[in-house]
Amino acid sequence: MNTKTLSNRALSVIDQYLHFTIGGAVCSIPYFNNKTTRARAALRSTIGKGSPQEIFEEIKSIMLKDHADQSAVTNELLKKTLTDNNIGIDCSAFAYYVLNTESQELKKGSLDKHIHFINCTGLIGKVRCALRPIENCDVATFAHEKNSRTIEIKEAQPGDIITMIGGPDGTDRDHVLVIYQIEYQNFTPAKIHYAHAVAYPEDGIYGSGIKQGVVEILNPEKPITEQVWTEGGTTGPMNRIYARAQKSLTSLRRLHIFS
Amino acid sequence: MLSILQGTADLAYIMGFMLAGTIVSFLWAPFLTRLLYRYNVVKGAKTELQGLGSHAYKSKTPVMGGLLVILTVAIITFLFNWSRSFTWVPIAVMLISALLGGVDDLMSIYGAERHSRKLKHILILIRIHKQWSMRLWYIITLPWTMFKRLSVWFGSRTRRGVLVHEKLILQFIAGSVTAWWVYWRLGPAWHFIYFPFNFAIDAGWFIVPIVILVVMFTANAVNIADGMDGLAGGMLVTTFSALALLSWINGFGEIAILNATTVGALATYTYFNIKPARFMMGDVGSLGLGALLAVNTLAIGELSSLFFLGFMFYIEAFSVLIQVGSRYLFGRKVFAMAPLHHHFEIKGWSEEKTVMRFWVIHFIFVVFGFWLALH
Repeated sequence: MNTKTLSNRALSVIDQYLHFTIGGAVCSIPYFNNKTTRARAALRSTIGKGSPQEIFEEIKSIMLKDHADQSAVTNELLKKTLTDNNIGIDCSAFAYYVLNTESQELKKGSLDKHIHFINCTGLIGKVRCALRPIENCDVATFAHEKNSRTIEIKEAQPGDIITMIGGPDGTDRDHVLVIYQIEYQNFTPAKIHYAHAVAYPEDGIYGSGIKQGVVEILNPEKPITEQVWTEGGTTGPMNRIYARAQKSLTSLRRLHIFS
Repeated sequence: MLSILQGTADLAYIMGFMLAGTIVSFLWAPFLTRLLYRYNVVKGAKTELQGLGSHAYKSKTPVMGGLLVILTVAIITFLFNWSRSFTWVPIAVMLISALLGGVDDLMSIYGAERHSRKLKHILILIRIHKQWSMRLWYIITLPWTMFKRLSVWFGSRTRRGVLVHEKLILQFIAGSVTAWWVYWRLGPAWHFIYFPFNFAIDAGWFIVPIVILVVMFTANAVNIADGMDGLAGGMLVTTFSALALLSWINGFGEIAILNATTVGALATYTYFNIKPARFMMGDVGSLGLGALLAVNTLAIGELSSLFFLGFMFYIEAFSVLIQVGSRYLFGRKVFAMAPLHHHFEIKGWSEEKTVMRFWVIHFIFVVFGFWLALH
C-alpha cells in the first residue's frame, strides 16, 4: 500500500497540538470556540486561535503569575489549567495552522496571502482581516468557491479538507477536518486519515481537544459521507463525526493554493 | 533650572532625616511583619498551580509592606518637616494614592467578586425593562455606564478589588490636587517646563492637564514595576536619592528632607523585600510612592528630567502599553509577558539577575537625568 502524508513540518504542527508539552506534562490542547464567550480584541491564544508557540507562551505566563514551577505540573493539571483559562483551539484555526505550514513548505508563502476573506467587506473589514487574518478565516471561508473547490475521492491528497456546513436544525457549528495522510491501493485512496479540533459531549469539560480518525473508502465513486468513518474506536452511526457529516452539507475540498 | 533658595537645609541635617527614616522604619518593621502574617494579607487568586515547586513561597508572601515607607514618611514629615508651602501637598497626594492602593489591596484579599453589567445589557434593559422609571434611570446613567465600560480598556480586568474606572477617578483626584497646587499655590514660576541648557517653555494653564497626566502615569508606572522581590524598592532608592540631592542643590530644603526620609524608609523596606521577600510592597506602597515621585519632581521644577529619573518605571509602563496595544490590534504579544521584567524571566533570566540588571540600568539613566537636571 502506497502512503502520502503532509510535509514533516505540517505533521509536526499536528503533533504539537496533540502532544502539547510543558515541563514534564503532556496533553492535547483543548477545543475552545470563542462563540461561547464572545471575547473581543483578545489574545489569539485565548479565543481559540493560538499557534502552539503562542499557547506555550501564554501558559508559561500564567504559571509565572501563579508562581508555579513547570517541572511540578502534571498532565491532568496542565489540561485543567488550559481549559479553565479558555486556552484552546477551534477547528478552523487548527486547519489554518496546519495548512499554512504546508503552504510554506511548498514554497507558496503564507496562507493568508492566498485566501479571500469573505467575511471582510468594506474598509474596516479589510483592515480587520489584514490585522487578524486567522481570526477571520472560518470554515465558511475555507469552503467558499473563491478559496476551494469540491473534489472527487479518487483525487484526494494530503492537505485537502472535509468541510461540514451547518445542519438541518441550524444549531450545529460549521466544522472542518484536515487530511494529513492517505493510503492508496492501486492508485486509489483506500484510507483517508484526518485530524481536527473538536469537543464531543462525552468528552466532559476536560476531555476535548485534537482528535484523529480514518475514513475507509469502500467505493471511491460514492460521496465521502457514504464511506466508513472510524474515530476513537467507534464506527458507523455511533461515531459522532460521521453522524455530523450525515446531517451537514459535507464535502471533500481542495484549497486553490494546493491545486 | 528652578531655584528659590528658601528653606535651604544643611546637607548633614538632610542626611539625618535619611537615617531617621531608616531607623524608625526598622523599629516598627517587625510589628508590621507580624501583623501582615497574622491576618494573612496574601493577594492573588487561589489556583491549583499555586504552591507547586520552588516558587511556592511567593504565593504565601503578604502584600502591603509598602505601609512601612508610607507611614514612616508621613509621620516623620508631619512631626518634623511640616510646611504649608512645600510638604503638605506631596504628603496629601501620596496618602490619597496610598489609600486607593490600600483599599485595592484589601478588597483583592477580603472582598467579594464584583461584576458590572455590559453596555449591551444596559441598552437591552433600556428597551425592555418593565418599569419606565428604571428605563429612565438607565438612560440617565448611560454616560456613566459607557465610562465604566471604556475604562476597562485602560486597565486589567479584575474581578476583585477596586475597578478600573474607580481607580482612574481617584488617581485623577490625586493629580488634580497636585495641579491645583502647582498652578495656583506655587506660583507663575511653576507654569514653566524647564529644559536643560537654560531653555524653558511657558505652558500656562496647559500645565494643569500635564501635571494630572504625569501624576497618574507615574503612580501606575511604579505600580507596574513592583513585580519582583527588591525591584521597585531598589530602583526607588536610587531615584529618591537623586531627587533628594537635586532638591538640595536647587534650594528646596523641605522637599530634600522629604526625599531623604523616603530614601531612608525605602532602604529598610528593600532590606526586607530582597529575595526571599518577607513582604511585598502592594498597591498601597507603589501607588503612593509613584505619586510622591511625580509631585516631588514637579515641586522642584524638574519635569523634563522625570523620564530619566524614573527611567525603568516608565520603560516597564510602556512595555505594558505596547503589549496591550498589540493584543487589541493583532491578537499577539510583543513581549513573552508584560511588564518587561517578566519577559526576561520567561526568557530564562533568574529573578536575581533581572532585578540587579534593572537596578544597574536604572542607576545609569538616573545619573544621566541628574546630569541633565544640573544643566
